[in-house]
Amino acid sequence: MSAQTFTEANGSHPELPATKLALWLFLAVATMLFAMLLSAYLVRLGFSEEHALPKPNLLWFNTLLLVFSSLALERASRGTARRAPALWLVGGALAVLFLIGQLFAWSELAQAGYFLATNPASSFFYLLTALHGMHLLGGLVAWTRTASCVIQEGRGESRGEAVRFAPASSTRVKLELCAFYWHFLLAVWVVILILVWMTT
Amino acid sequence: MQGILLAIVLVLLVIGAVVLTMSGALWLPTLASNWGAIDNMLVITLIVTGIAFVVLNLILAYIVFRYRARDGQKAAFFAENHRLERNLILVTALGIIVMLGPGLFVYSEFIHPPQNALVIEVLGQQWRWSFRYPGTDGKLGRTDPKLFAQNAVGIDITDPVAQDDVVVHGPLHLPLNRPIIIKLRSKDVLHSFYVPEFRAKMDAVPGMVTRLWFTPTKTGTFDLLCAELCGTAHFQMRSKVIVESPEEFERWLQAQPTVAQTIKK
Amino acid sequence: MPHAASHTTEEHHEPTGFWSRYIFSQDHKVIAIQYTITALVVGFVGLFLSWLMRLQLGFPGEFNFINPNNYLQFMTQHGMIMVVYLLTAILLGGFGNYLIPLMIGTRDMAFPFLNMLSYWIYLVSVILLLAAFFVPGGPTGAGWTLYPPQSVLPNASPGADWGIRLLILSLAVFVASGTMGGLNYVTTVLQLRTRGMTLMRMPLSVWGIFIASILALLAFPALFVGGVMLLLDSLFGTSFFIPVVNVLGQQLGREGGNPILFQHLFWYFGHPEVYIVILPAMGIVSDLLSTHARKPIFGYKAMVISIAAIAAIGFIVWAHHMFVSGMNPYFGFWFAIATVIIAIPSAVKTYNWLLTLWKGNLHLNTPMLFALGFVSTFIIGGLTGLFLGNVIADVPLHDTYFVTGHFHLVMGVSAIFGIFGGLYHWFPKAVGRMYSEALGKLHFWVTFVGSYLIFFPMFGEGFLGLPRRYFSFKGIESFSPIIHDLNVFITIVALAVGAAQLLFVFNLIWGAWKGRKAEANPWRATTLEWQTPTTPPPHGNWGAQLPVVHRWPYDYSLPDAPQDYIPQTTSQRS
Repeated sequence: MSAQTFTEANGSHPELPATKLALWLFLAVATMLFAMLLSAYLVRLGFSEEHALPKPNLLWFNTLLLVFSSLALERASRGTARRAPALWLVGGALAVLFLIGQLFAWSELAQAGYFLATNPASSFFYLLTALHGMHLLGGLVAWTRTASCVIQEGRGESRGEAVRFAPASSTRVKLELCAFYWHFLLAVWVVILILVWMTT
Repeated sequence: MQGILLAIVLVLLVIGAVVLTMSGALWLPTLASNWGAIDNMLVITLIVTGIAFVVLNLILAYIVFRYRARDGQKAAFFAENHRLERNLILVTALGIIVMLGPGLFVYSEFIHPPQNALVIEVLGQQWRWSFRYPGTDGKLGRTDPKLFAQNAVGIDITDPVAQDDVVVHGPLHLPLNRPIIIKLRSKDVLHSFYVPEFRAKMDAVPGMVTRLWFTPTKTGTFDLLCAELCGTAHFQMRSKVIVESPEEFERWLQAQPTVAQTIKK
Repeated sequence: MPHAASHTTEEHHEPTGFWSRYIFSQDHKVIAIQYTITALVVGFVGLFLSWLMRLQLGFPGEFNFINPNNYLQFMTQHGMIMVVYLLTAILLGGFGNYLIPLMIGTRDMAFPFLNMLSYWIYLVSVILLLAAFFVPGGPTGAGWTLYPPQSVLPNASPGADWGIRLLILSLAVFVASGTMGGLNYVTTVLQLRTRGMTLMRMPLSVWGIFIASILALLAFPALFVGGVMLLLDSLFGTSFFIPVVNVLGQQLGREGGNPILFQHLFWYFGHPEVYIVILPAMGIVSDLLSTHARKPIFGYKAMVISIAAIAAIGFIVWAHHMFVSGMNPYFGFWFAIATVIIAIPSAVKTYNWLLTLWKGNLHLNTPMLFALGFVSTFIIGGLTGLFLGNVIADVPLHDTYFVTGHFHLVMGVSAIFGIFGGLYHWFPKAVGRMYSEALGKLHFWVTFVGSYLIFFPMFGEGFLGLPRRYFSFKGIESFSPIIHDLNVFITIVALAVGAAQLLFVFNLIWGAWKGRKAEANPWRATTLEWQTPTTPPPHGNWGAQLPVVHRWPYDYSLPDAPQDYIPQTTSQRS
């Protein structure tokens, strides 16, 4: 990352890449967004007596998918250059499956007669899952771009010894950041799930 | 040149502001309720902020006059003075306490209506006001926003307490010197109950009941305005308030038809 | 961000094509100018709308094309344009982009590609905003606060269908742009400062923009969330904010929503938004005052702390906009106390500006005059805020012209004075030529005197009880006839002040085209942007060597120094 060459020249904070700081800031923004929405949800529930919502069992399965997706990306970011590409692809595929699973959960709700405007719980559930899904989609864009780097480097390493990525490698930073973002979205999803479970 | 001009303008600004304030031409309309304490708060705030306004602007005027760039003048070099900074903070804090302290007591009074008050319901809708008085039982009947589909004021006509309520769409009649609690409802969008002479003000919010209280202390007719933007004819959402002696008020109320007479079951 | 790499490498390749140089440029200075010009253009639309409103208020009934509906639409668009699309965009996108890299001594933003994207997305939001004038029903007329239910229920207010949807879309896009910008500004300040540029050696302009960017990052999500929920209420019949209502005789099938919930979300964004606008202006004014008074800023540390304090407390005062909204009345105590506490850091800033000027050597050129104008209008604007923050004093004044006068002076006129001052001050650096001092001074005098004549009488109107957002005051007997005269007077002055802004435009265009060539450091200022090897600075700013900082930015009139200023790049020994 050129930002790093600069910070070295500047001598301010070479140990913290600019992208990492930017990601943390973005997570602060996203935290704010979901916190606002969840507070609004809890406040809004107080104004209606009717807030039933069927909870498709599929949601548990989806949660497992996201957990494994997160784990796979984490392993990839720590793993050797040879193993990383496969883990990386598996992690991303699981995330895609999670999104598809969420769509099936929506259709189950719709078949049960719960639409966006049915009651506050359904309104918020659709809205929260949609925003969470869009954040994951954004993550998948970054995942795709990182994937090409991982595969290239993995190919280079595959003939030689199984070594870890060099610590300063820009690919390694990208993997770490992407995985970290995944953990964040997993945490957000778990919070959403718990709150919805406890209040409907 | 610019320095002298700016100093003159700032001094004129201060003089103009003081003269305008002293003249009283642009001050509150004559008070017609018990909220003299609110007026006092405005006066206290005006004095404290007024002093700050005059002093700070005059200092600024002096500075631009005295320290405008001239040949041979050199700026002094000083960048800190902790004692001065601390003292200024203390003076500011003191000014704030003088304003806020009594204000909070008045506010506490404002949100705690007296027990013996007459409760009147005011309903806002685009773009008019309706008023409901309790009948001889002294109680207002039940309402529910869902009932707006059945009658104009959303009143539950099966409620026995509601039968003797009186609904008027015309001027709001109020008895003199009796504390009034206004319960505010809205049929459609946000409105705000505002009579400048009473000082008190509160939004009407659909789906909930808000309230405010005051005691009319002057007989006469006043304008009731809407103070929360409520659509195209917001500026025309008006009614009259007539404050009259308790006897006149009773006589007027007795002459009005009750809900049982006006709204079909 | 792979694209971050392309333009921050030491050996610098300046793009040569017209498109990559001036249109899709990733140079922070070009982006800054794009932001500034776009914001000024849309600002003139806002100014024009204020003219239309004033024509109606000053001469009711004389202009038939202004009716109650489009009056409210002009009003709403005027407010939205001025607060968000002019002030926020120009201060963060314009000044933030131009000043941060130059003042902290780096070649560009941390993520130049993201920076370019931020501008183009902002442009999309502006287009969406203005497109509302051309959809059925026109733009929304619900006020810039967008309060439901009226903003989204059909027929409840003008533009309650396509107008409001387009506006929310535009705001969501703006939030995306602002977030990209904010991430960039904060990261750049924290990561890319040149050697020797410690945080406590940063000019106050950078401090103001830096803290405002953090505020923007944390406040915009509330607007986004509120906006999306409002949009769903409008499009899909949800009831986030809509209770059981009956609009014009029609019972709508909504239930349980709470309009006050939206107000909380809106002001959780809306109040910090005020500081997003005023903090950068405060920073800019601090630097202008110090430079043109040839004196160090007084109490630099206190200035930094008070910026941070205002920002932090700014997050816990939002409901002072809602004292008579029908929220739990006990909230009033807390929000009143928190609000007036903000007066302390704000007062510290004012005192320190005056003490900075004290015993200075004031060069009263155009940027300095605007900076002094800022101090004066901020004093009156801030002091009148104490009426509105003190909960019980707010009750009679709430939603009257007192409020209109207050916020126009404190965040409208003050902020725009900071912007004017800054634009004149940095114009020679950005363009390489001088503006006309005579025209600039004329612009200042008309604007300064005019602003007071427009907004000062509004405090009086507010005391008299005049409600704001009224199309006409005809038929309200209790208002004295003086109000009509005042409104005529205000309108005439407003037309003149608006027209005077053409002087400013002419001055900038003429200056950029025909102005005298500017020296590299015409104000003899200490900060880094005036020490660039060439003026205007090229892409990459610094030539072969990054500057090295040896001192704080306010070494003016040091005793025994050969000159009355010592640039930050001058080492301690010399």
